[in-house]
Amino acid sequence: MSALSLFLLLAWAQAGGEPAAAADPAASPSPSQGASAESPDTSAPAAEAGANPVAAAAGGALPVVQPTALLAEELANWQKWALLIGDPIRTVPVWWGPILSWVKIVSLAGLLGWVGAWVMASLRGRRRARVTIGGARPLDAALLLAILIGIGCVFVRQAQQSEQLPQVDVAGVALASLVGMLCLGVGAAWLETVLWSGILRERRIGDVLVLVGMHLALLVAVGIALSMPSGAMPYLGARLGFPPDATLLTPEGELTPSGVVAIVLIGVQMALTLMGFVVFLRIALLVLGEVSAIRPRRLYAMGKFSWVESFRKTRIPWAVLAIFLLILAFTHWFLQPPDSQRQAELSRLYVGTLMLLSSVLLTVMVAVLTPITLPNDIRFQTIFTVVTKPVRRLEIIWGRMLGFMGVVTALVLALGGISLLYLERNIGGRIEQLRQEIAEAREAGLDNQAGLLEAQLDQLQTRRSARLPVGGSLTFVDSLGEPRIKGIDVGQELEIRSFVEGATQAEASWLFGPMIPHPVDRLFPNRPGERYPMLSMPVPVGLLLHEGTIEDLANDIYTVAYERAELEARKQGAEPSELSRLNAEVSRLEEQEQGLLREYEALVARYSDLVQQAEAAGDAPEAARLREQAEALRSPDVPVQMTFTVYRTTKGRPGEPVYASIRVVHPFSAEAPMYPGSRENSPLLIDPLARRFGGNNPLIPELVHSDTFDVKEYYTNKWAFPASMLVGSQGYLTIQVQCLSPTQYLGMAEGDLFLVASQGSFLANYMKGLAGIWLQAMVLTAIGVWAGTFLSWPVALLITVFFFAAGEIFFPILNQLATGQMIGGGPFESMIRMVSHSNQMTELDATLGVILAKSLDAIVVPIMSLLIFVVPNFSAMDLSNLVADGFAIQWATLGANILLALSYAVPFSIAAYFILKNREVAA
Amino acid sequence: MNSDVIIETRNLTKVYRDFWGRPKVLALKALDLKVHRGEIFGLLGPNGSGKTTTIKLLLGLLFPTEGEAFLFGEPATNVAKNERIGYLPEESYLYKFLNAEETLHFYGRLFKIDPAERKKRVDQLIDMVGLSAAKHRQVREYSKGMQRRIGLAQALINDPEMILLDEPTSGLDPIGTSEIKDRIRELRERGKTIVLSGHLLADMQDICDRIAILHRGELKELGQVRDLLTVQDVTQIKTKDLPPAALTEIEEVVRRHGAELLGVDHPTTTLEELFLRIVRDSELHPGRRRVGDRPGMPAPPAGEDGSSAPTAPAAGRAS
Ligand SMILES: Nc1ncnc2c1ncn2[C@@H]1O[C@H](COP(=O)(O)OP(=O)(O)OP(=O)(O)O)[C@@H](O)[C@H]1O
Ligand SMILES: [Mg+2]
Repeated sequence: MSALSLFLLLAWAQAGGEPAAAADPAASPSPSQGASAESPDTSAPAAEAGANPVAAAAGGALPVVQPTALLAEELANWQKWALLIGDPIRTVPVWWGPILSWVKIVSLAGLLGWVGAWVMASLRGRRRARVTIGGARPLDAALLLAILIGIGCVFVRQAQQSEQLPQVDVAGVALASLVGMLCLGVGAAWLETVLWSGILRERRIGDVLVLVGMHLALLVAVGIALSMPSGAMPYLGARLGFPPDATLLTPEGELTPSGVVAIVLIGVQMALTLMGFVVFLRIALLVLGEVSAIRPRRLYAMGKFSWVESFRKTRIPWAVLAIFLLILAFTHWFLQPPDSQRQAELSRLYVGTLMLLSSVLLTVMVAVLTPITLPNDIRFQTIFTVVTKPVRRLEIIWGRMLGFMGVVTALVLALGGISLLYLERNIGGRIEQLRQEIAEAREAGLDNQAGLLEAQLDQLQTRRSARLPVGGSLTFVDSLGEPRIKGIDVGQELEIRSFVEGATQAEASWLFGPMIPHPVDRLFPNRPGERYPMLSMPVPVGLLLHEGTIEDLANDIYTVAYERAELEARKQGAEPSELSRLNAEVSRLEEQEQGLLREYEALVARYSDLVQQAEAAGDAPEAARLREQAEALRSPDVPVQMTFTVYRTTKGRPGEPVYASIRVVHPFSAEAPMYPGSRENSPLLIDPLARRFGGNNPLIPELVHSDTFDVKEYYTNKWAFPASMLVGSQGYLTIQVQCLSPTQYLGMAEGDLFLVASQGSFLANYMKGLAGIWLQAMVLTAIGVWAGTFLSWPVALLITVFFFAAGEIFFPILNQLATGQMIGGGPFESMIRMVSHSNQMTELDATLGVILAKSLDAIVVPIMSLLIFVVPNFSAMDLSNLVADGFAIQWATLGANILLALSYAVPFSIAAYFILKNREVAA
Repeated sequence: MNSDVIIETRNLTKVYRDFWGRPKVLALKALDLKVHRGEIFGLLGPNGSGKTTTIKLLLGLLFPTEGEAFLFGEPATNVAKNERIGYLPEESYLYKFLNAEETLHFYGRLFKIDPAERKKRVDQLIDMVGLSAAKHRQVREYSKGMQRRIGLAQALINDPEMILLDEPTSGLDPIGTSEIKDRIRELRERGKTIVLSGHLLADMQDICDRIAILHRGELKELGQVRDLLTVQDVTQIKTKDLPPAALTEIEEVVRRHGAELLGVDHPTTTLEELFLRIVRDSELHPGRRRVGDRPGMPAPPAGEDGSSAPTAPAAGRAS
């Protein structure tokens, strides 16, 4: 269950975590994606959001629990639950949170679809009206009038807000708002009539039940909204996004008109969500019935059919293959390494280009293939002979998708195979060439040259692996020694790194650990308000300490010691019977500890023995063999990789390297407190063996390990520290970096420093990258098939392409739009700004045009914002950057992406099923 | 419901609408039909009279504007009943990129038939429709008649209980036509129910047990072919060796002289005549003649001038 919950959490993290990564400078090998995969750090909270607008855009649209100073103590428990369940987008950061959100969004979409479908059915099946006004039914005429007046109200409100029109209030509420609400009421009445008449006429008992259920839901929602205590109003207002200075309560504790609006809004939100649930239930039951009728043989028949159709009729797959080969034949012409010093870029360039090419070609193929075939099938009536067979509509949809995915799979494998061969020939060839050059240089005694080449080779090989980065949580210390969330902003736009000043106390500090507070809570442990959820960013001790080595054994001793310490603590105030049991247990553990210690000493003795033998050994090969044996008893050093940028002030001397110091601090050391500002310098962990060893712990030779190095820009700086630093750490660790060169600044972001937990195979990683492309294709297939069920193929094609573009390119923009963070207003206001060349930040003069534009925006933006929930986040599924940078794609990330893809593909395919089922195939 | 009734429609009405939902064509008007097990039922009517519309409604390809259609007692949109139905569309809408064998295997897989049986049936059917020589050629290369044949084969792949054939003989040569007619009779012998539409009246007359004549979406005539084609108000007397001079006195002679009377009978018209008369009649007096299912009932008398008195049921329905 917990694995599932992790996946789901990651699914959400991926759904919104992307834009921040997309903003990374392309050249920076930032493992931020990998890091975000390990912790749901995308729930960008307000405090950080202010400092980092990109991150805010990333997390803002997501259901995040924002810590708010206003605690809802007034609310009963059930009311909190009702609010959580009733709010369309809010969720909680537990495993079922993403499911809840998903259900809510799907429910709302279902509600929209259900109401829309019935309104249409009802209107189409209407008999001639008895009474008409100007040819229209009275209610229709009223609706039309209400819409026009409603739009007018928006304009009036805009004009009033820009103080072009005087404010007219009735009982404290703007008249225009009142009229607007009246219009909404008319709309609701119209909807009621149309729905009831349509559903009763068709005599569909299930839908009558749904309609009744929806009204019950409405009643429940109204009841809950009315039950909200007035004391909770400030809290509710904040939730609804009312400005903090809005007065919802009179001094006497009565609701002000704004307060009434707030209650109504809560009721409406809740009603919509609950009604959505009713529809969701209905849909779920129908789909379950349909799914239970599915037979593999028919799915297979439909799938095979689509496969054959793709290859024989459209021939698009062949075209894709041909184009790929054609482009490949010319790639090496325009793919040149930026300069011979930056070999790593070459590998990145090749891998990135090949993956991009595969992805683009496959996407185009799917976007063209999937929306065309079904509409043509309907148009040329070939579908008649299919749907008059006992094949279910859902089988037609899923079977088709399966067939297309078969084609995609075949092509992914073909393109992937060709790409890998190509890479092997080019990068592999280059590596071989470098090796030879190095050997030649050594031969000729050009050690300097050889060193340079070796560095290049190393960079090239680094990118051709699959490193598993483990990141920590970053905070800063400024030049005066004060803790900070951010370092210095050097004023470069697009720079997401913040900087530490050289030769001062300024420092960047990464904290690792299984349970660490959020940076804000670390720096301000005593601040008011709710805490952020704890972060989990542990050092993978189990991975880094190799089984059976000295360090591993030492760590085992600590594991037992921790257990013993815990039991000792439990002894306080324990009952006598319990006490004797605990005592027995403690002495058992003590014995175990002793045994392990003896084992440890024996292993150490063997180690030093081997080392001495190696020193004594006469001939070199024998010494090397012995040394190797000795090394096998030790865990390898823990690799750290970092990529920093350097900001050079004019005072600096060009050409002079910039030096940095790095310190790894064990959690037993008092030099790395969890709360940087705290006065008492307490260590992160208490050493349970401190008493046994006194000050001289043989298991952990040093608690602080430091070093200096010169920062190579563009390079992945590699460093390592002894594995013994991890002994007894329980995954906690602190790594601190300072800049040593005066007047120079070292830039870093959280993802810029990481431990390398493992080096996987590039091939497997490449395959996982292709799987990402495959997932994109799956979602797009679902969309293409869906669009094809009700649109003619040119329109379906356009819609599919639109969805892809919106998901891949405009997702961040949609996100800003949905979260109201769009700088420069909505689309219409932006247009005015563009035409008039005015600044994005200043308020525009309230001309008629501006009021018009703002009004249109007020109508259009909420509708566009809804797109954020239906447009799939395609870019999140694209993992090719990780592959190109040589970072391992973790199974968890891939799993999360699979879930993410399914969470889009399934609803779209279900929607397609309902459309195909309820449309006349022969009309 | 009587299990003998395979198809039943009640007040089946179809109005084609345009994109905005405005009514465009009234293609079928309040059709009430019952087709019984083992029957060959013919749907007749001029072009655009609603035959294809009726069949599509029966198959759930279209949804009725009003009324209902049941097949095997199930609503027309029920998918499971398709297991027992075969359908040949008006034109052979087949996938051009498959060959005959692949086509039949594809459709066959959609039914619950085990693979060995399916293989056998595919070969049999290809053989039956005479396409063995061309079975590996893609359908796009087929002539219209060949496509028609493969279309018929796919309609029979599941050995259906009830077969809907929309103009099965269109596009076929005379030999093909008579072959198909033989097939249809064979199928009836095996107890299948067959509904077919068409305008080739001679063919329909040959094979149908019962027919319905549609005109502009309205049911104009329904009944046993034999009964419908019987002309009630004309008497035909067949005599042998009658002297030509006695011709004017024939009735008297027969009655008085006791000559050898071979038979007094009602002559039948051809279906073609009946059809043309109904169409002409309907055109002159739209909505005048409506009939329900009256198997065995005499056809309403129709005067030479076409001004026959409306029969009781017709008067009842016309209002
Ligand atoms: N998809 C459609 N949209 C609009 N009107 C249609 C559609 N299909 C058929 N019609 C109309 O419905 C009426 C009946 O058509 P239908 O195809 O049922 O006739 P039919 O009896 O099969 O004719 P034919 O003998 O030519 O095949 C015609 O007037 C036709 O124009
Ligand atoms: Mg027809």
